[in-house]
Amino acid sequence: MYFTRQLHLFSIQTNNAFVFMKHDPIASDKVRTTQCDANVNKPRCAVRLPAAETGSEPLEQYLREHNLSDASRFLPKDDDDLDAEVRDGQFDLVLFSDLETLLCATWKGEIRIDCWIETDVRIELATPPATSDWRNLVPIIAVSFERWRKRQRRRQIIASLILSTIALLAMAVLFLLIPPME
Amino acid sequence: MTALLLVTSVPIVMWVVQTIQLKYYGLPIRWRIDSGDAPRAVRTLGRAVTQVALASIILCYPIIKGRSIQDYYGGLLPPTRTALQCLHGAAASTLFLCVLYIAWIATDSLRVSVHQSRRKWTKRLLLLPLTAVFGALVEELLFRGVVMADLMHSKGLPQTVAVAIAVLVFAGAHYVRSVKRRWTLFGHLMLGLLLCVAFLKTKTLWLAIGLHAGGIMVIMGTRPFFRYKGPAWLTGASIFPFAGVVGILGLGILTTFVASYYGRQ
Repeated sequence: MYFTRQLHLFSIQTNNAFVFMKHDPIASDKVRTTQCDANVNKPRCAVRLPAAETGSEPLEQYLREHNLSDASRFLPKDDDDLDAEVRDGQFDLVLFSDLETLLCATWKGEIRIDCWIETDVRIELATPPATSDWRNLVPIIAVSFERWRKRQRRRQIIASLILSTIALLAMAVLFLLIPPME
Repeated sequence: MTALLLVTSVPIVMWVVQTIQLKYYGLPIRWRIDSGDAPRAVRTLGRAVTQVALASIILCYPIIKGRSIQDYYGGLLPPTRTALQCLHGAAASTLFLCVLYIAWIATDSLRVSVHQSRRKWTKRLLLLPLTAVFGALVEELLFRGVVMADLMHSKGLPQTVAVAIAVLVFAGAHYVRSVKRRWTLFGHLMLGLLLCVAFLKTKTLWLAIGLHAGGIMVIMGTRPFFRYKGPAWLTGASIFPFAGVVGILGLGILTTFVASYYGRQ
């Protein structure tokens, strides 16, 4: 479902950053205008930190270059807070380290990119993908989704195994270890 | 009815302390007990006062009734083989919650991902046994050991009415402070019924403490790793997996099991 939701997004590459918006010329103009205004007035920026340290350097470099060092930073575990604040209109710009980080956050289901776009928030990537053609983006998105699904399945299996073990131990206590009370 | 009067005095004490503190910080008075956006000290002191008030009731009630604290609670927590009921209760609630969680994982209604910092969840897990036992012990001593025991000894009050009032007091107490979710009330009512039935059937607090502590252990132990995806009315949410429709039905089955298993003895 998330995969198909993302396919209607159209991407353009501007100023070393990747901006996602609806495939709607009027909306696109609107976003571009917002961008120009934002360059004059400093945008309220949120930074979604990557899970690994490796993606932090391009982010910090981007923030230094755009004079946004005081931007609010959100850890991956705080995606729901980020989503709530963006949808509440508290930010004009949300910066991700790369496309994979943005996609992973979307697959998790805690951020709603479609709602963000409706609020005209700019979504940018500190390290944009090498291609700007949407046809080349499809396999990248598909691989990212499959990778996330595998990771999630592995976690579910581990959690189920742990819970099953605990449940079996509880059953042993209930039916074997403790005989009926006198 | 002494216990009911004592328990209803707690929200009054909480509100008075909150009002004095708000006045001190120059903030407007609130009619609800809600320290949400007040200075941290208001919340900290408010919680401390609540704990002291609850502990005072637990300690003073036997004295008001003309009995020693040791004698009164010794009768409710006899150091005999019945103490094994605590383990039995913990196993029953653990099994119930594990089955519930496995069902939610299997139906993709629960996402498994760490959403707390490693330091935070490690600390929580290390303190978990202590938190669970302490939380369950205090609530059971108060709501079953004091409130329900007092109601059951009230002359002319039918047992079913005593249980109903005890259930309402237990559930209502969770909503004295301003809370994020109110739809969990039915879950708390059902949980209250389970714990009251456990006390009613065993005449001791061991089983209720076990059921309660086992529940806290599983819920708080899994909290940093689970996120609910399904509709809250069905699956529950946050620390309230028992408050969704399925959770409430599960509690109903657990209550029936406790009533029939311990009712035979």
